[in-house]
Amino acid sequence: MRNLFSDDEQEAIVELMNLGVGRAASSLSRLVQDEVLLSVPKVEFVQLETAEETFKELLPKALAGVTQAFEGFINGKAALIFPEERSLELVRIVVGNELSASEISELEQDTLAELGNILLNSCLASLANLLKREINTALPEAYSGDYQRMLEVLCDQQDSLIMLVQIDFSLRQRNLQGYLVFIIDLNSATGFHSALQDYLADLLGNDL
Amino acid sequence: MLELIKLLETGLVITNSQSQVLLWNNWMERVTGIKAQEANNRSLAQLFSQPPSPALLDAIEQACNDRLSRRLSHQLHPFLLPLSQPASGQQLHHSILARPMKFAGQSACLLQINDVTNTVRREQHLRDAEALLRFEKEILSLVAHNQPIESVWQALTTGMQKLAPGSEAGLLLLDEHSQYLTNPVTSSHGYLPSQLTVNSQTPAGAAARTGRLQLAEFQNQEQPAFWWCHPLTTSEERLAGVLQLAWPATTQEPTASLTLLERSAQLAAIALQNHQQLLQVRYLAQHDALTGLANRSLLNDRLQDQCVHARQKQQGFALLFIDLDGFKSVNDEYGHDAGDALLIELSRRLQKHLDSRDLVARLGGDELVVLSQQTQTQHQAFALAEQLNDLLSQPFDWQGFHLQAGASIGIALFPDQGDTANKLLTQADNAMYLAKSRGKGQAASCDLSAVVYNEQNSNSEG
Repeated sequence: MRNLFSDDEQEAIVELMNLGVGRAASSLSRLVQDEVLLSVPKVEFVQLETAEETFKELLPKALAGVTQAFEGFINGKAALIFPEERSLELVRIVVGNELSASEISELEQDTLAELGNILLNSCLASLANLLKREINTALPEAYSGDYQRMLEVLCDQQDSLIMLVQIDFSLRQRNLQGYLVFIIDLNSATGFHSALQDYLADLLGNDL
Repeated sequence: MLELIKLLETGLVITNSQSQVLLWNNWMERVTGIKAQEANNRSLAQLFSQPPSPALLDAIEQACNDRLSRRLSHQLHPFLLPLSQPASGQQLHHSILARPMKFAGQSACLLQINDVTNTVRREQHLRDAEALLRFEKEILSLVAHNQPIESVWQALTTGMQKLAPGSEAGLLLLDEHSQYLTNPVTSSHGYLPSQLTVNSQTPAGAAARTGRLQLAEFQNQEQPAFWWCHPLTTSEERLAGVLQLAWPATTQEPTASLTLLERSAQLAAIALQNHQQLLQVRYLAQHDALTGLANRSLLNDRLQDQCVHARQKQQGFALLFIDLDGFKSVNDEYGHDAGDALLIELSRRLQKHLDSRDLVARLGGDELVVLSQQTQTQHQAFALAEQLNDLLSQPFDWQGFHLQAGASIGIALFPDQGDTANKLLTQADNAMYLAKSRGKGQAASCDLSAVVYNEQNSNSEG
C-alpha cells in the first residue's frame, strides 16, 4: 500500500485538493459575504496500522467536526475536523454571534455541519469532475470526540487508505487551522488509481 | 408509501433540477397554504411571491446534477422558503436537507424541511439570558472594584440600551429633600427627562411617589410611546430614585424588557448601597468617632491641598494648634464620660463659630487643630485665637456639674512658619508648648515669640 501512488500521482492529488479547497473558499466567501481564504499546506498519506499513532501525534485530543460518507468511483468517508473549541469559533466567526457559551448549540451544530458539507462537497466534486468520474455524497453529520473515536467512526473497513489534509482558514481577520480527512476504501483504490493515471496521461497528452 | 409521507410531521418535497415540484406532502400544504395539486409541476419560484433562497436552488441543482447531498442550516440561511406557522401566521424557522434521488426514472432532489422554530426561540432565549448575565457581571464587577459611581451609572444605562436596542434608559436620583429627581449621567440624546419634581405627572414621578413599577403607554408624539419606570429602593426600604426604560412606537418592544428593567433596578440599588457604604467607610476613616471632627488623616490631606493651593494663589493661611488646659482634671474629677461630653461640646462650639471652609480636627486626647483659610496675618491669627480661647473657656453644665477648660493655642502661618504640612504642624505644636510654658490661656507664635493674654490683653502681641 505504501507504493500505491507514485510521486506524480500524489502530487496530482495535492493539486486536485487545492482546486477543491479553492472552490470551497469561494462558496464560503459568498455565503458569509466576506473573504474566506483557505490554504492547503500539507497532505499526508497515513497507513491504517499506524493511523492511531499518527493521529495522536498530529491531532488535538478533543476533536469536533463533520463527517460525510461518499460513494462512486471511490468509496469512503470524509471529515472536517478541528480542535473542539475551534469548531465553535469557526461557527461563531461565520455567524457573527457573540454567544460565549462553551457548548455548541443545536443550531450551531447544524451550521458547522453545513460548513463541513460545503468544504467536503467541493473537494470531492472537484476530484470527481477533474478526474471525469462520478461521486455521490451523503448528508453530513456533526461529530465530536477524541481521535480514537473518530478513527472508529471513520474506518469501519479493515482496508483503508487515509489521506490527511491540513488546511488553514482565514476569515474576518481571524485564523483557524483544521484538517480534512479522507478515508478511502481500499477496494475502490484501484478505481482511484486508474482515474489518476488517466488524468496524468491526459495532462501529458495535452502538453504534447 | 405515499400514505406514510402524508403522516410525517416534517416537510417533504421532491423536485427536479429546475426545482419543479414532483411531490408535496401534507405538512407542506399546512405551512404554505398551497395544495399538492397546485404545487405539482410548478417551480418553487412560481409557487411563492417571495423567491426561494438562491442557496436552496443551488443545492437542488447540485443534488440532481452532481448527486451531492446538502445541508442548509438556519443560521446561514434564515430565509430559505417563505413558510409560516399555521396557528399564528408567524414565520416558521426551518432548515433543509437536500438529497439526490431517482424519482419516476429521472434525477431528482428530495428536500426534507425541518421546523426549527422552537430551537431558534430557545436559543434566542438562552442568548438573551446570557447577555443579561454578562451585563450583570460587568456592573457588579464595577461595583465590587469600587469604581466611581458615575461610571457605574454610565455603564448601567449604556448596557440597558445595548440589551434593548432602540430604547433609552435613564436614571433619576432623589435629592436629599425628596423634591427633585435628577439624572446623574449626562445624556447625549433622548426624550427622557434629566430632571423633574417628585410631584410631576409622569410615570417617573408616579413611580417615586407610589414606590411601584409604572408601565405607561402614550399615544401622543410629545413623549416616548412606552415609558416604564421602576422605583429604586435602598436596603432600608427608602426610595432613592427611579430607573426608566422608554422606546418609541416605531421600535418593537425589546425582548424581556421587564426582566431587564427589574434586574437593572436591582443592580442600581446594589450600586447605590455600596456607594453609600463606601462614603460611610471613607467618612469613618477620616473622622474622629467621638466628636465627628476631622481626624489626623483628613487634616493631613487637607493641609497638603491647602499648601498647594496657597502657593498657587500666593495667599497665606493659618494653622492653630489647641491644647485644652485643665481637661485632665475634668477627667480625673468627674470621670471620662464628663471629659467626653466636654470634648463634644467644645467641638460643637468650634464648628459653629468657624467658617464652613475652615477645618477643625482632633488629633487625639485634648489636642485640636484649626485650619483657617481666611486667617492670613499674625494679627488675624491672634484675634482668632483669642476668640477661640474665649469660646473654649466658657463653662459647660453637665449632669449638674460645672465643667470648664481653657486653651493654650500655638499659631503657625503659611508661608512664614513653614510651607509644607509637616513644618506647619511642627511649628504650631512648638508654639503651643511655648504658650503653655508662659502660663495657661495664652496663644503664641514661635516666630515672634509673641504671647497674648486671653482675657486681659485683647489683640496685643507680646
